[in-house]
Amino acid sequence: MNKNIWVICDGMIFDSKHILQLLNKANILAKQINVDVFVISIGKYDEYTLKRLFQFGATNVLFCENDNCDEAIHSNILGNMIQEKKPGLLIFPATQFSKVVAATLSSRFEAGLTADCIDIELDTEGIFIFSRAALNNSVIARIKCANFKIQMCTVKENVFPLLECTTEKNVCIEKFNYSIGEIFEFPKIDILKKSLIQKENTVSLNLAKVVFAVGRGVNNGETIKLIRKVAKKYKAEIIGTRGAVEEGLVERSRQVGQSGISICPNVYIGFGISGASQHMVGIKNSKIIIAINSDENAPIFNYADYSVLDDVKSVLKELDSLIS
Amino acid sequence: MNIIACIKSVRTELINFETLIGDNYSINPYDLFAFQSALDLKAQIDCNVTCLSMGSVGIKDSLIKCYAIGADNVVWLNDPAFAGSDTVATTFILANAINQKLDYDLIVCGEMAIDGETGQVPAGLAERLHIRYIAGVKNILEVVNNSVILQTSCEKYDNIIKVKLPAVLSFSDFTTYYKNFSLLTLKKAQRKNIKICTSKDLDIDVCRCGINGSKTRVLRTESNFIKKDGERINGNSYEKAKLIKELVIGKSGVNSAYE
Repeated sequence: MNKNIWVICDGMIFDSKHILQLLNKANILAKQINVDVFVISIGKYDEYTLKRLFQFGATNVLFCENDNCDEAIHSNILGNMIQEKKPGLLIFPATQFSKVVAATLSSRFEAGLTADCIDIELDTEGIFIFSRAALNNSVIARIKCANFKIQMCTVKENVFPLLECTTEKNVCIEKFNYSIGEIFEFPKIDILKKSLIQKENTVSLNLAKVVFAVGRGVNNGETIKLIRKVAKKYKAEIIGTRGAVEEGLVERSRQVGQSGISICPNVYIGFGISGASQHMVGIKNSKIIIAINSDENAPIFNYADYSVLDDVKSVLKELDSLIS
Repeated sequence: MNIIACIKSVRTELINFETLIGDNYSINPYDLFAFQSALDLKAQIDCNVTCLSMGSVGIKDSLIKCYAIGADNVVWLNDPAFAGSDTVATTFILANAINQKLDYDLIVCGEMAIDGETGQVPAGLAERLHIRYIAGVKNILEVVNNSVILQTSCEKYDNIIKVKLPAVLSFSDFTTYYKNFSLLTLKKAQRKNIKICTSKDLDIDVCRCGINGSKTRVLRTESNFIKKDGERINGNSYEKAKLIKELVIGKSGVNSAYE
């Protein structure tokens, strides 16, 4: 018999958009192999939220009361659940918190874990195939698990769509109990000071309609100043490749690509962007890609809707003078 | 205090280095940040910093750099049986090597390697060693008695936390700048002894190492992007800019805001 699919909530939050997206995918996979979808909720009991999960494809909710948002405690509770219930596939949101829990339990249970999946499919033999972007040559790697009992993966936000299931479902919330003694072995972490990070960027980048992307090719203070000036005129947000961040041209929070965020603007303009796959994975959903580069062999020209072979600075100067 | 810095050696071509040395392999920039943070601590208090790295013969350049930057010891896990390890097998090998060969109070790692970008090894290593794992470390502020005080960031918050040792820390930042590095330190480093450790030097089940011990297999890779038959915009810079402007205004959906 096939084993169930579990979607693991992120920390104490049960019904974030991210989780509901994962739930939708889990539901599709579960139907194909005729198993149930469990949502694992570890935190404070909230009936309304837990019931809501059933509208998005949960067949069961396994709930455990816990006040500590601590990866180690979370891992231990989830570890106990795994031992008792023996699921087949665990899908985690690829957040800082859940990635720690997933990596911890992957080593504990010797479970195959694929990070930052962009798709999960079943092959003809009913085996899960995990896809993720891999480096060097604009490629997607297809990965499957070997000699495993449990499979795991983490998935970033907005990889899967958010769909409400229309079918009526019975609400089935199961409570899981544990004793704190068996759960926790480490001394507590003392939080001496906690302050909110100013995070204005991420929201506006996700919603940006026009972005100006800065690559390592723009290695000149004058050009970057000009880009900032022109971006303001064209109401564009500035983003950068990892190279540009390393060069200090763009803030880290504006790094787009494999190790940064993904965006889907209406118009993307790359200034001196070479088109390395690490960056391209983060922008491939842009509606129009315009690439400006003085190197005619830059790979980005292969993926651009409009290619401009020219010096970045001279085009910028013209763009600048076109809008007063 | 004994500190282990876990170092992955990655292909130099993946990194944009400020100082180019022309080697094939270099220290993963995230690990370099963690390692140099350990060396900063060594400048303040009595520490012994050991670099631990796993890889085949090509990575020697990178290990010499570890000495050149200031490592006290470099241990090289080098065995064909270790090749092809995924994160499960890697944490198994590292934990065995650490338990059998090294003393430690603190283990530092980068958050991820720039080639694999999975970021799963530090937490898995802490799990296998049964010690605390702290992610998102920015800075080691102080060592007090048997604890470290750290500046960390977790999603929405910046925190100052106090953690009992031993612990595994992963640093979320990277650097491509070698502190205290010169051709002289590099020359001296070339004469230092890198301790090679094979599967025979460890009491380890080789079936759980390398490809055999890995739980994930890459089946195939395929092109991620569909090549487009895009349009080439010709003309002088003014004409090109004019067309770009029209595209931005016409297609961005924010046209009313212009001019």
